[in-house]
This record gives sequence, structure tokens and C-alpha cells, in this order.
Amino acid sequence: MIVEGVLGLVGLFALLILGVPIFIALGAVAIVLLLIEGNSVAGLGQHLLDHLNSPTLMAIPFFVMAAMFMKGGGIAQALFDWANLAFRRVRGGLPIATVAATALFAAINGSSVATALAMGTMAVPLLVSKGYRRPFVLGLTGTAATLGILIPPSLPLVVYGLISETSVPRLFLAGVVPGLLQALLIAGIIVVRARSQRTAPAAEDEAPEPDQRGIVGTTVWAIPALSVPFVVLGGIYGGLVTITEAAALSAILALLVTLFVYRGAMPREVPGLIRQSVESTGSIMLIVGSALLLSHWIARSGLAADLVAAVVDLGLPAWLFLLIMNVTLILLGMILEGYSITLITVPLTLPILEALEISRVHYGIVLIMNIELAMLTPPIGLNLFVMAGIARAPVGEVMRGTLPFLIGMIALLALVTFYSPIVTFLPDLVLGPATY
Amino acid sequence: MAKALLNALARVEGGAIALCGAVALALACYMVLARYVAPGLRVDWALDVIVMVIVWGVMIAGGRTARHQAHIRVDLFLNAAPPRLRAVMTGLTLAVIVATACLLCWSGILVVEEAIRWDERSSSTWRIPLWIYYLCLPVGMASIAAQSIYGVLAGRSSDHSHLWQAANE
Repeated sequence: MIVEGVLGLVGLFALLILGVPIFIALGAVAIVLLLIEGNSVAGLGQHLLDHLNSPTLMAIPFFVMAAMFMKGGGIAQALFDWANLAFRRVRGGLPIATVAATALFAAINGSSVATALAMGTMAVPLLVSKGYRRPFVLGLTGTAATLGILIPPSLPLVVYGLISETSVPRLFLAGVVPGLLQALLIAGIIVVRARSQRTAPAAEDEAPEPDQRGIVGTTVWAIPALSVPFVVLGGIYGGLVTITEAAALSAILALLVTLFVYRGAMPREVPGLIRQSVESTGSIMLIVGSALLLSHWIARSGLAADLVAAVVDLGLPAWLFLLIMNVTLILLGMILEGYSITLITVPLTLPILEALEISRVHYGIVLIMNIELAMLTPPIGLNLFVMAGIARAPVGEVMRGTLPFLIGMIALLALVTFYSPIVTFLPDLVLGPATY
Repeated sequence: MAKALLNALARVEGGAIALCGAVALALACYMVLARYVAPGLRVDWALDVIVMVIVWGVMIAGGRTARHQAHIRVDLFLNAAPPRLRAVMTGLTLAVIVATACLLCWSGILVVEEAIRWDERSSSTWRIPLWIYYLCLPVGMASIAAQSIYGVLAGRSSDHSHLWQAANE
């Protein structure tokens, strides 16, 4: 089976290089392998439809809708103003407030690019106008925006949970500590860099100190935005709603708050936003369906058992496997976007994880952190393009600004990879020890 | 005339996709509300309908996205290729898309036929005939094949792909 698997993988990469859409490339390879295996033509469609008939998968369109509704602004501004109150006296307070607001925004939507768009549009012009160097501002905002997929809720974690059959609430909790560590790391780099006159202005705050009324007003104004993560995550961990229902609640709350509180969108724009959400979701769900078809072949063909036997024969220790996977994922991140990386690699790595006794929850977070890096590395790094688009700056300038943060994130990835309790501590504490 | 027809088709597609999304969102919220506010009004078929309308929306959107050549793909090598090689790569890509989509369309037709023959229905109290759900596969795949051909013939740029990815990540 290893031979068919290798040929399938070669065929897959040939189709990807050719420029075939990823869902078609995965689907074509899966179809050929399943037909060789003796599957009927009708069986192919039946498997695809059965895999798409998943309540958890339905969380994706709703989370995408929430992100679409929030893109219009308002929510990001309210969170930023509130975070700025806390850090206004710190040197580099404004960029640190940007990171804090981004972490909060990440807790109400599961998309990195939506976070980059919403926070970047608002924070970049402000920070630049206050005298911070543009590459630094673009780098920090682009890097902080990757928190969108690490801090719950996270769209890629939903997809990973679905394909690896891992509890999504557990995965969400697992992302909290690494997410907070990443926010602290970015803030730490800001504090160090803000000492340099080449990065930060000599005197930052020209705005008058807010009075008691101003502080209360800003806090009250932020409450509708802050209520979204409380309702959504509270609902999930309180056992009140399923992931799909929580995603729908997050979408409807984001819509109501955007329309009626912050007025970030007009009611007539709503059908268009919903259409865009379903269209965007379509691209992901078709890849998920094809990947699940390929997973079906992997499970049916016995390739999984062969892979495990090969790894056991090699005597590969878990740490070395994780190291190899990190390097592979970073390299793949240079040519593929996040969902494709997840959906192509996870079906193949899953049986090996079990053989090497690597927690699926731990691996999921390692994978997501690699996707974060992929969003910041050329030529596919989406956040680089988003930030360049917002500031009308060359992508090279964004890359230059991102570099110090990127080095920090690689160090954090190494820590998370080789010290799994950072990931598993919180979910084990809240939900009890995992059995996988 | 042809352009007006295509524009009308695009509007119908767009409306259908938005309607699918709105119905799914409304039903999901209704499920939660009914459970905690009015348990007597709970329905057990809501999730069946959510899955059905979302997957239908996804399949319709699949064709629309194919028309713009905006499905997620690795366009790095394609963009770097010289014009002649690029044309060959585009032709081969189209052949793979059409072959795969047509095979899945045929497969979907067989699944629909089976579902009608055996009168397959969902397990909820509404007992929705499953062929309604299954029909999205042949319709969606036929649309993807046809609109991919149209997209290539009309010379649609694949530059939108980043925008689509951007919305997804």
C-alpha cells in the first residue's frame, strides 16, 4: 500500500504544481485510488455526501459569517479604545494596546485575515500618525492578527477537529495558553523595540488623560463587543450549546452588534455579506469533502497501518517526528495555505501520532502555529498581502517589519512543540485528561 | 443577449446562495431559542435542513467560484510560467477539473437514482426525501465543470484567488 500511497502523493503534488484547484486535486487522487481499490462509482458520491453531512462542519459557515459581519469595523475600534485605556501610560503603550485589542478580537472571530483587516485598517494609520515606523507597525499588526486562528474560536481548529476526530471544545481550550503566550511575546518585542528611536517616537501620548467619565464611557462602549466571546465560549463550556449553535450565535450577535450598536454595516449589505460567507465557506468545505474522501481511502486501504509499521521500524522518537513535521509544515506553508496544509497532511500523520503516543490536541496546536507562520512567510503569506494592501506598502516592507516577530514565534513554536503541557494543561484541567 | 442571460444567472445564483445561508443561520438560532425559551416549539429536523441548505449553497457557490477561477489553488508556478507553458498548464488543469467534476456528477446521478428507487428519507420526524440533498452533487459538479470551461474561455483572471483565500483564513 505504501507504493500506491507514494504514487498518490506524487500525483497530488503534480496536480498542485500544475495549478489544479486543491479540492479537485485531492478529489481526483482519492477517486483514482478508490476506484483501483474496487470502489463503485456511485460509492464515491455517496461517501462525499455522507462526509459533508456533518453537524460540526456546519460551524464553519457560521464562523465565517461572524468574521464577515465583524470586518466592517466598529467592534475593532471599541476593543482598541478599551485596551488603550489600560496601556496608555506604558512606553510603547499604543502598539501594546493594538496587540491586546487583537487578542480580544481573536476571541470573537476565528479568522486571521478578518482580524488583520479589521485591526489593521484601524490601528496602522493611527500608529503611523503617532510616529511609529511603518514596517514595525505593519509587522506587529500582521503578526498579532495570526492570533485569530490560535485563540478560540478558531476556524482551522474546527477543520482539524473534524478531520482528526478530536473534540473541538478541547482544541479551543488548548489554544488559549499558547495564544496568550504569543500575545505576551509580541508585547515583549514591542517593549524592547520601542526603546529604539528608529522604531518609536520620542514622546507618544499627546492625547489628554481621560477622566473618570471617559474611562466609564469607553468601557461601556466596549461591553457589546466583549459580550460576544462570553456568550459563545460560555455557551460551549457551560454545555448550553453545541459548536455549531455557538458559531451561529456568534454570527447573529456579531450581526446585531455591528448593525445596531457600532453601525459598521448597513442592513442592505447583509444579504451580500451572507452570500460572500457561503461562497468563502464553499471553497473550504469542498476541500474538506475531498480530503475526507482521501482519508476514507487511507483508512480502507491499510496505508495507515503500513505507515505506522514503517515509522516503528525506523525507531523514530516522538520529538524527532515533531521536529520533522515542523520543518515540513514550514516548507509546505510557503506554497500552500492553511486549510490545504491541514487537509493534506493530517490524514497521513494521524496514525503515526497514535503510534508515537503524541496527543492529537498537542499536534493540532503545533499545526495551527505552523499555519500562523505560513501566513507570515512569502510567497503565500496572506497576512503580508493584507497588511501591504491596507498601507499600500510594498510586501518587502511588511516582511522586514515582521522578521523580529517571526523569529520570536519560531522560538515559541519550539517551546510548544517540545513542552506539551503548555497546550494540554488547560483542557485537561477543565475537561479532564484526554484519552488521546 | 448571452451576457444578459449570464448576468441574470449570476444574480439568481447569488440570491440562492444568500438565501441558503440566511435560512441556515435563522434555523440554527431558532434551535437554541426554542430549546431554552419555548421547548414546546422544538423541531428535530432543523439540523437536517441546515446541512441540506448549506451543502446546496456550497455546491452552487462552487460553480460561481469556478467561473472566476478563484478556487483555492497553488498559482505560484502557473504565474511564473512563460505564456506558452502557462496555456498548456491551464488546458491540463481544465481537463482535470472537467474529468473529475463529470465523474462526480455521474456518481451523484447514480446516488440520486438509488435514493429515489429505495425512497430513502432522513431519520427526523419530517422524513425529508434524501434525493433532495443528494441532488446538490450532480447539479454542483455539472455547474463547476461548465463554469470552469466558461471561465477559461472568457479568460477570467485567477488573480482573485488571494481575495478568496483572504476571506477564508
